[in-house]
Amino acid sequence: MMLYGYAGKILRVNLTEKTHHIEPLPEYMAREYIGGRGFVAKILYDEIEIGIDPLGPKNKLIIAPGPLTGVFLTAGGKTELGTLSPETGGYGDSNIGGHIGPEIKYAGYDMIILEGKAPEKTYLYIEDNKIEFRDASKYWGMECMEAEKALKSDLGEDFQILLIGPAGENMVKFACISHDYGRQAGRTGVGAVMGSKNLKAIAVKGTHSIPLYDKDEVINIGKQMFKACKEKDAEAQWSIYGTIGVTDWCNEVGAFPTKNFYDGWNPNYKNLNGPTAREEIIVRDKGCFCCPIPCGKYSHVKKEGYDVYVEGPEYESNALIGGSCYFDDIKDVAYGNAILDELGMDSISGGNVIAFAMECFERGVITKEDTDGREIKFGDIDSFKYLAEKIAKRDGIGDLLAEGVKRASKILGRGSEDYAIQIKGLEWSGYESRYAPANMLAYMTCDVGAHHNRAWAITYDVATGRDKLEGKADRVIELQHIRPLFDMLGCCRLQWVEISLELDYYPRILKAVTGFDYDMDDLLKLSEKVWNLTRAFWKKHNPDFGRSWDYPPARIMNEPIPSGPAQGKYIPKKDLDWLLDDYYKKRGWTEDGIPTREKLEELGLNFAVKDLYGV
Amino acid sequence: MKITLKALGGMKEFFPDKKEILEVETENGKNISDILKDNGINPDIVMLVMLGGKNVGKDYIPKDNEEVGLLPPLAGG
Repeated sequence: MMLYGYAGKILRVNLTEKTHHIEPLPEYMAREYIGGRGFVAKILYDEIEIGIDPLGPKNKLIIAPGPLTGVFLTAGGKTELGTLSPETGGYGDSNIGGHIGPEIKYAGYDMIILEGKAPEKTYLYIEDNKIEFRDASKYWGMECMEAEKALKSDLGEDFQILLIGPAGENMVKFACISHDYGRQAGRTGVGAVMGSKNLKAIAVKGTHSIPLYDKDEVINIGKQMFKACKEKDAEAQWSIYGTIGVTDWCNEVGAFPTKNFYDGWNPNYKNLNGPTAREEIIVRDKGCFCCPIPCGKYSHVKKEGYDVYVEGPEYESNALIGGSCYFDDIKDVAYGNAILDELGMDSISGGNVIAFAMECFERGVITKEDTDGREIKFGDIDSFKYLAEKIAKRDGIGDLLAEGVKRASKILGRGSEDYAIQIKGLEWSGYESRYAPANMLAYMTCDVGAHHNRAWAITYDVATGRDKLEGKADRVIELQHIRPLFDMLGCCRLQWVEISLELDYYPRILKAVTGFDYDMDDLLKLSEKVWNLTRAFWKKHNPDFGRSWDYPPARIMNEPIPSGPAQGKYIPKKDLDWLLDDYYKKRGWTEDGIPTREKLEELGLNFAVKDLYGV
Repeated sequence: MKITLKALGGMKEFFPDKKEILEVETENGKNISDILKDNGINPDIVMLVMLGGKNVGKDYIPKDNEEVGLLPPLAGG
């Protein structure tokens, strides 16, 4: 049966044998899992064997755009990547913008499955159905921008590239995959998995069209969406700053991670905010495929010691570098961002890990003996650069830090586990949540670890009461269905999230593209299905997975925020337990946080029942 | 005097009755923050106060018949 909105094919690549196989996309995958994150979750669940090494040849890296990817007028530039995470040992995924997803669809694929390990340093060349395993030794060792430039120079500017930097090559566990000179698939160590496969890059060029179910309606609705975005953004002026615009507010409510999440605000936050960035460093906007509200910002930072360009800093880099590593100059933040981008490390985990190291040094858990005689300080860009480079090379103390804060703190001991700010092994992203119960719950239950992308609820907390626990689980569950839906559709969610583009556009445009007659409730049910599938994946691969994996570290559970607008606040464990109890009950999970047999069957996940319950 | 409060971005959800436009009576000399409190809206959930395409902030004292747009914090990428 003809599938509209899809290329209709899966590219399965065996890097070990240097072979590939093109499979038809089964219709049930499109109808039940939609695309993007849905495809990633299903393939990982079905195909990843229990007990494998995430950095070994049996792990797989899945790359999946969605049915709205590559379709004009819908900001359809998003692609999901996923793997068994080397950082967490559980479900890992990461989303990327730019232009790679559309190009993969135009090349004729709805999904690329990378298997095995290449015998030599390799890059994968994809030009429609021409697939080649090419020698990457020329590019190996290059930093990200240089490598992308070299590949495009050699292959042509019309190729879209996914690549890793030195951090990925050395399998730093939070290495990212880079694209379009400054966009990344940042989280969960997807770059490390790519490096473990000896794969430096994937270069894609495509010339096919994507069949549309009702082309006129796609254009009609797409134009409406585009116009609505332009009007709303003109009123809200959101894209002037992009995501960094929330820096002021987060500090003013005590939600800005500061000094390794010791505190909830940076007193110098005005030096790090959107207006300061715009005035001092931003030189132009940068957008993804067909986006009407480009949030990317190219910055030029010049100070004694450096002169660089970087796409950024967006809010997360600002929070984890500016806040957690405790800088007071946006230029240093942007330079730190550039360092991590070039080396190919997630700026959330990277900033978090470096802040952890800074605190360890302050406490004498790491000493000058570990740092080549060098003093390491919060707020010192030379310390930041030194640690980033050591980590990327896995050299000395960098080799330990490259494992991520959970593993590093376990080895370092001396109480450092208390301030290794992570959940399930994934470093906490940019929102201090000790005075935001819904947001705290969102972090605890996020299915990749401590990440905010599934549910962000601080405004809800402030609006409904920051000391209140009731109703928070309901809100988190609602968001955990809506937000990841965009990652299944293959389009950006910021048009809805930031400027409130009406949600009902999405089922309408999906129908015009694919012919699928789903309303929003139908789509949210499919999203709920994937939510339970990824939870089941964790349990399948980690027999002791359960409630205990959802708790934050001791600092977050026990230490009140010391200063600023949220001074004295934290959420004691008994309240975290209340939140979890309420959440699990409403999700239809056991008291240990595992989807019940009934819930799995209700969602059509009968195949997972045997894995979790034996029969 | 009368001013108009317009919900921008996701603000509608936090307006009374989830309205998008709120016309309110107020006194001369009151700032936006206090006007919001008078109308049951927590000023802490307002990030930007837009007037003529510019952020005038919560301390802004509106004039009669002005319309300000209120934007809540960005909900994270």
